[in-house]
Amino acid sequence: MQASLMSTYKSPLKSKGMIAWVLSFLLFAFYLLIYFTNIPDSWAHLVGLESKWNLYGVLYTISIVAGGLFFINTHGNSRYQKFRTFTLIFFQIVFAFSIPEIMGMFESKGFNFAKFWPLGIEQFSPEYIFEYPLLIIVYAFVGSLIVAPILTLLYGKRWYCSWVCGCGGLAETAGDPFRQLSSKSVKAWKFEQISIHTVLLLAILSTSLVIINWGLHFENAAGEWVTNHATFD
Amino acid sequence: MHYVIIGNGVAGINAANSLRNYDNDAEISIISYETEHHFSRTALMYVFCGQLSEQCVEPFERDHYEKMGFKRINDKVSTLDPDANKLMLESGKTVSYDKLLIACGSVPAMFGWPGSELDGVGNFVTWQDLQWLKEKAKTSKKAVVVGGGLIGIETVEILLLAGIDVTFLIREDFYWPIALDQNEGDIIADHMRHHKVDLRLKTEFAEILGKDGKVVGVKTGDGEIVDCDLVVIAVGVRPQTDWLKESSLALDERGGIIADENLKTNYDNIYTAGDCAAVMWFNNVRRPEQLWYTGRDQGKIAASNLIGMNKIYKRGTFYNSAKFFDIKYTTAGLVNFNLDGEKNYFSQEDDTNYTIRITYLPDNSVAGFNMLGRRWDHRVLVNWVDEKRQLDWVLKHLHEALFDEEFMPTFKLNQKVS
Ligand SMILES: Cc1cc2nc3c(=O)[nH]c(=O)nc-3n(C[C@H](O)[C@H](O)[C@H](O)COP(=O)(O)OP(=O)(O)OC[C@H]3O[C@@H](n4cnc5c(N)ncnc54)[C@H](O)[C@@H]3O)c2cc1C
Repeated sequence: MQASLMSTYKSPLKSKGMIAWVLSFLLFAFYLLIYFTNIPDSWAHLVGLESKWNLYGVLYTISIVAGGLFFINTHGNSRYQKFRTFTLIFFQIVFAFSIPEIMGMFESKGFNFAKFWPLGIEQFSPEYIFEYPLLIIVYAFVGSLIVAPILTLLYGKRWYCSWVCGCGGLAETAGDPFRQLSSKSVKAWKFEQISIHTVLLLAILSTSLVIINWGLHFENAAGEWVTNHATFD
Repeated sequence: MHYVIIGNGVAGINAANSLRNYDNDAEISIISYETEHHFSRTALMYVFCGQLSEQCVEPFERDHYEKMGFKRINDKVSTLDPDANKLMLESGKTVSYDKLLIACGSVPAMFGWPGSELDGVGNFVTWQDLQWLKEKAKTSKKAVVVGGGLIGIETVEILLLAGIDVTFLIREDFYWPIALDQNEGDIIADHMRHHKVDLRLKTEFAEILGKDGKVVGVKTGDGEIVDCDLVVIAVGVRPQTDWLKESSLALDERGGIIADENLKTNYDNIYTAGDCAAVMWFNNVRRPEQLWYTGRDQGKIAASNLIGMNKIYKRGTFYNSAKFFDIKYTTAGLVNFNLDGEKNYFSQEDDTNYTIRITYLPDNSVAGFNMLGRRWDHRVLVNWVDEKRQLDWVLKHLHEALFDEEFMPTFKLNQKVS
């Protein structure tokens, strides 16, 4: 047994103790501030970053790196987990963080090559994707519609969710010590089954609307709002 | 029809579920004194360590009993009157049944060593044992574990993880001779010592020493004294049937409830399943199969027969898996059974604990596998035994039975002895 997994249920941080509540409150407050105010912009400026979203990217990457090292310390006796976690860290640092930043330095719009539709829902929005060079447009379509489904058929969804994805990446690294808190009830399982398919349906629906809207040159305020805000990350 | 099941373990609960599948209207009662909810006994060690919560090891949701319409009786049965179809409970109540399943499991074997009653002496088998050990581990500095089997080594591992120094007393020449050979036992012994276990092989356990009612040490057969404040005895389990000794239910000399091939006892409306059932083995020896999956299978078969079917409990080829600290163990078929003219093929990969032992017969057909280190798919191994595959063929196809996680070092045969 892994010594570092001892006492998961005895640790106040990992089993809804006081410190866990304080931490969740702080995290919640942070997300409220970053999504609904511009206060974090000034924090970003303090550390020499351009905007709150750059700051968010840096913090996100630090969380994955630190959480990943912690994870390897815990589960590193398994080569599978070691390889997997280093890959996750690599994709976060290189693909999700550095490449878009570097593209920005060359005056082009950043692009995350490790993201595919529907997670990167904007990639099928014509107004968004057609601003990129042809190669990236082809990459987005082939990746989302051909490569990702084929890899999933071959390896299951884990090839993306636990090897590449930044969202799964955070859950698998910084989130790992809290994994046991998820509900294992049959109810939760049923909810998950319904909700993931509902979300997929909504993604298809909203993407279709965006494409139709673009096709019809239907440029009213609502249409613009959808194109600008339809991101799910 | 009132079905009563004594035991809320894997055998009892599986029988109850099957009964309900067959009969929607039957009245089904489950009697247990240990816990209100069925739990996974095999996972006790993870609860001790706090890696799983207590509720994590309950395979069914808490409302399972209500949903399935099982009546629970939290009480201990003290006597059975099979001629009157009646059970007497410790609380003084009586329960009548039409048909009865006894799935009352095991109790730890204790051989009346002096000092066994001292505070700080116990076992690691029941839910109550778990609570006891958790409490003791808070203050214990030095423990002695007695008995070189699976429960023994699990207990050693978790006590070490809890920061307690452990001395492990094993009577035999090497660890777990029923299942391992000397070479395999030595690998496990080295591994334990690497984990700082004070392992004492060939050491009899004679007496527990106490002061003011508390354990202060144990005395070995050679008269040596090992200081300690905690003793866990794990020298095996026996059927929990002391309460049946006075009844006319037929027990074997070790207390197992004698079961025929339908798992019926000597009474037509009483069946038995799980750790307490003495069933006939392939070699015509009658004894209980103290395993999780056989308990589950027996519970289901017994339920079918309680309903009135005629299902035969025929156990397939043996298989099992376990873990000795970090070393995985898989076995299938018959190893250590001393079959006529058997030989053993042995291979150990260089600089690893990865070993393979294949027992084969004079006609070169394989009879059993004992594997350490890597993970193996017992379904494939069992098939090969059933198909009486030739050793050469098996060695060529062995990689097909590998069940390792991805990125493990490539598997290599490396024959050491024949
Ligand atoms: C620490 C540990 C680790 C193990 N690991 C493994 C493993 O890795 N693999 C494996 O195959 N097996 C393992 N086993 C063995 C396995 O757990 C048992 O074979 C299995 O649990 C037996 O199930 P059962 O239903 O027959 O009995 P039990 O689970 O023992 O259930 C007995 C039930 O009967 C009830 N009962 C008994 N007497 C009375 C009475 N007089 N009145 C009322 N109720 C009564 C008890 O309350 C209990 O509910 C392990 C056992 C232990 C202790």
